[in-house]
Amino acid sequence: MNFKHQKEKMMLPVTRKSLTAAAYGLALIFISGCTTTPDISGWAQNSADLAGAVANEGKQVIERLDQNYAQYKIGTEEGWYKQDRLDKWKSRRATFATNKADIDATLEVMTGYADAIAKLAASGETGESAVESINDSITNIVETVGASNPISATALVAFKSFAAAFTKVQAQNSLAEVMIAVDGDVQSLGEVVEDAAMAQKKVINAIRLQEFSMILSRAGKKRMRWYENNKGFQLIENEFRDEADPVKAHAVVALVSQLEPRYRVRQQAQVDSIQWKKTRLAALNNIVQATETWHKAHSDAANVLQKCGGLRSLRVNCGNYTAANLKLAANQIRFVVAPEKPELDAIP
Amino acid sequence: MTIENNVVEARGMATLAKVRDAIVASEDYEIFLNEFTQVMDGANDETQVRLTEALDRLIDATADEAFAAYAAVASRARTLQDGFRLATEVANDSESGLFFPAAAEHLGDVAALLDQVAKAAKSIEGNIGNLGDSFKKGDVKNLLSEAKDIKDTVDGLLTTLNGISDKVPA
Repeated sequence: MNFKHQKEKMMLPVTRKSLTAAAYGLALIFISGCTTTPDISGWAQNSADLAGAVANEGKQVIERLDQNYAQYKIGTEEGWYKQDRLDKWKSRRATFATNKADIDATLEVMTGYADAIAKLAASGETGESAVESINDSITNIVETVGASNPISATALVAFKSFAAAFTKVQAQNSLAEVMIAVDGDVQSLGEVVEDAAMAQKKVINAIRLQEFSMILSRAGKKRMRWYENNKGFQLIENEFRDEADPVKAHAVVALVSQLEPRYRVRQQAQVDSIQWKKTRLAALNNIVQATETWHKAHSDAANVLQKCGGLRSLRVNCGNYTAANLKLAANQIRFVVAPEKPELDAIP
Repeated sequence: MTIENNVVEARGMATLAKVRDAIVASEDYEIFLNEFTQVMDGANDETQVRLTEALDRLIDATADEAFAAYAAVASRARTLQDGFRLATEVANDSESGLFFPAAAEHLGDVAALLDQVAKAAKSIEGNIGNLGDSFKKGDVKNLLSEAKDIKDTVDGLLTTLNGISDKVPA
């Protein structure tokens, strides 16, 4: 036996097929030791909820700006509001709507990504059912062509377990790759959403100030001043003293009575405006809090998959790498690569 | 303008400054707006006009800064869209490339197609004389070529699956 022949006998043939088979063999150990795929569907739902909440808050602002614009327009016609201020708010509304559309569009693209990785994770759990489907198809095919089914009932059971583990490994590898690659963008988007919420709070404060001013103007500043100076119980009561002028008393009471509803409307309008502001600010605070959880969840899931997802499940610190798995893996490699000549130890 | 009016105006201006400071510090400012209302209700016509102008300036400054900040954030948001689109494509490709689900889908298609071909063959079996009328020469060639492709695909998949199932311990 020459050296070349001896070497050929000692070394196992390394072909694409044998490497693939070895990879399949390695994957078998995940039957008892796969890392659980993080709950991507929950994250996808959170993503959709977040996008919906952000879109809704932007919509609330636009609707408020539209309502106020209608009021300002009336005010301009009635003379208690100025045309140049009306134009400014019209322009601000248009700019806000354009920018809101951009933010919404980005979040929509992000939810598409979230759905895609959720689908990928879910498909990673379909290995077993895929084998059932494959077996059904093969049964149909062999019936059609009159051959015998190459998958025995015994092999099918093991085949299903293998396919389940293999598909999960394959999906987790891809998930880890995609999620790690895009995690920086997710973190950036988290900052964007938080900053957008902060900027929107400022917008809401600006709207509140404008409404405050509008309410003062609409009520009639001079009329409200007169009412404030004459509404007091003692002042009115004084008009009815013994030596009072009944005509003047009648005029004062009539004016006070006429202005009182207007004054109450002004008060109530301010209360409503404050309430709207508080509701919106609280909602934006919730968005900021939810965003922190949202982008951290993506990062955590990506890190889990990067450390222990797919084939990385073999790492000691992932807890899947047991002595039993090691022995099984070694046996599988021998069985797959050199079923007739298990001489791995002989390799120099 | 009397000293009294000057005092009222100064008080109004100081109140607006408190509103501005509170907004910058993200604190509640309603108490100062309420105070401003009281000042306005106690101010003469001229002072009311001056204070209204000052309030408008505060509103414009607050609004301009707020809307500009929102626009800047939106601009940042736009730059992220391509990254997410690409990641979505990669995830979708990975999902459609999962071996067993993809093989199951493909084999399902093959089984259905093979079934159709078998039925078609059976239906023309007793009517072979009309074959020339029913099919053009090119169509028959294509059918045969397709059948060969199907056979090759099935053979390849069966060999692969058989190879894998043989290596799985019972």
